Amino acid sequence: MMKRLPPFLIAILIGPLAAQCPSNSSAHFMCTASGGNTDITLFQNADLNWDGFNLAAGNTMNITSSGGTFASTHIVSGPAQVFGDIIADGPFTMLSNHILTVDGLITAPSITLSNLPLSSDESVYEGNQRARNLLIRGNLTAKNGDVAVLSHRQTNFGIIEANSGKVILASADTATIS
Amino acid sequence: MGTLKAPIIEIYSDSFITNSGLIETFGPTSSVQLIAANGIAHNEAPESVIITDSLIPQGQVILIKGSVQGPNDGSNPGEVSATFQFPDFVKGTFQGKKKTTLKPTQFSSSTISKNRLPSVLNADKKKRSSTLATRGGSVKKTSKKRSFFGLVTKD
Repeated sequence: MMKRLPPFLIAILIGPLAAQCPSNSSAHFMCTASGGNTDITLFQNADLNWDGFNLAAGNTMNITSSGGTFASTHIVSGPAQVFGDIIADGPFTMLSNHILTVDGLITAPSITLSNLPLSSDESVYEGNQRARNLLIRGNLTAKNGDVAVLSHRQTNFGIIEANSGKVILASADTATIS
Repeated sequence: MGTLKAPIIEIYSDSFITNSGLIETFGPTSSVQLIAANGIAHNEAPESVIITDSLIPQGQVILIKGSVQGPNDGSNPGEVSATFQFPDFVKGTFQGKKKTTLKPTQFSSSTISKNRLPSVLNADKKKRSSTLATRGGSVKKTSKKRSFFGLVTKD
């Protein structure tokens, strides 16, 4: 029987992945990727689309707002794996239609992670819909808001902190995010 | 080991959530709400601790076997370990209607059969003779000796 390799071993074997930018472009944000760093500047609240998301261990993603404080929503088609560090100065949301794993660190005013279906059209996934796990082994830190983690099946081995807000863990088959 | 820290922690489970570790709230309005459609289990394990002013579990079956501590309990807190079972909260019958069945004890005399009491306690005060140790002297017609240990008085 084939044994699944732990993520840190995978990261060591394949080495740091090159930094990536979203697949879409918009006047709401600007992205530059160099080496292991991704810098995203928000000019308004922005939706960023990703064809899979893999921030390798040791890599960083800095999301900064320009002219205000803006929220970024990262919509991931495929697995989302955060092994590196994400630091955002505005609300951070990541939505995946596959497994979502956080081994690294996410720091933002508020954080929302979900891999629940967003609509009834999203009913077919790779494998079993109910097998989409959300696994946290790293740190989620909300500076002044809430942390919400939504999934059908979720496991926390990491640290989730909201010093002046709420930590909300919800498991269900569907979710409404507003 | 998972750690959750915030003034308010809310966990809603319709399927599967695992956090085997510390759940800690702090601040003046700190609370932990555990709301599950089916069951909630806070297992008894060395690293499984809930620290909060207010633990609010809601579900059909709630098993709290692990440690629950107050924020100011210090390094050697008293441990609360209990099992709660509520009716189906979805039907709205859980609030203030916890079903409790108490077994009769020596403090709940209303459920104890009079016939099982010692005859001295069971006897009607009006019919009891003021004369002691006469073995049926004044109540001879309404009572009979049943055993060495006492008399059974007919009403």
